[in-house]
Amino acid sequence: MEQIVPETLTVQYNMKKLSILFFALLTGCAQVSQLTDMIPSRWDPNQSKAVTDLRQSTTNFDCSTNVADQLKNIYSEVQWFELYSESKNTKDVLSLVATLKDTVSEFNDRLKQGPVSPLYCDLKKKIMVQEANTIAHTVQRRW
Amino acid sequence: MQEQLEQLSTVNAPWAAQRAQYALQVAQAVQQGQLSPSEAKEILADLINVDKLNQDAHDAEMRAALVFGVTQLAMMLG
Repeated sequence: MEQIVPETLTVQYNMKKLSILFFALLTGCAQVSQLTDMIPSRWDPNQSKAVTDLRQSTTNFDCSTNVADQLKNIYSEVQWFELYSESKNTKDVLSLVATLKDTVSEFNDRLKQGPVSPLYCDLKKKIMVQEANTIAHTVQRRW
Repeated sequence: MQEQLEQLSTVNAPWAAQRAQYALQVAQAVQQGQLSPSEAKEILADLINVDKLNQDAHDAEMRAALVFGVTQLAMMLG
C-alpha cells in the first residue's frame, strides 16, 4: 500500500479548497446575474422617446395608403428600441418589445406574399396599437 | 367551442369577454369570406400573445413598484 506523506496531504487539501472556492465563485456569479435580471430597469429618456414614436406610428397606421412603407417604418422603430435596450442590457423591456416585433414581422411577411384582406389589416393595426400602448405604459412608469 | 366563447363573451371579466368577442368576430369573418383561414389563425395567435404581453407588462410594473417602495423605505430607515 502506498504511503501518503503529509506534504501530499496538504497539497490535496489545498486543491480541494481551491475547487470549492472556484465552484462557489461560479455559482455565485450565476446567481448575481439572475438577481440583476430581476431588478427592474430605470426610466430612460431615449426609450421613452422611441416608445412614444412607436405609439404614434401605430396609431396613425392607415390601411388605405401604402401599408408596406408604414410597416417598414414601424419595424425600423421597433428594431431601434430593441438594439438600444439590448446594448443597455434592460432585459425587462427587451422581452416586451419582442411581441410587437413578431406582430409586425408576420404582417410584413404576409404582405410580401400578396395583398391582404382589409379586415386583416384593420385587426393587425388594432393589435399593434394595443401592444405599443402596453409597452409604452410599462416603459414610462418606471422610476 | 363556439358555445364556450359565447359564454365567455358575457362573463364579468372585461378582458376575457373582450377577447372572446374578438375570437367570435374572427370566426364569423372567416365564414363570411372577409378573412382567410390563415389570416384568422394569425389574428387569433396575436390575441393570445397580447394577453401574455399584458401579463408580462403587469408583472414588470409590479416589480418596479415593489423595488421603488422597498428602496424608499430603506432610505427612510437610514
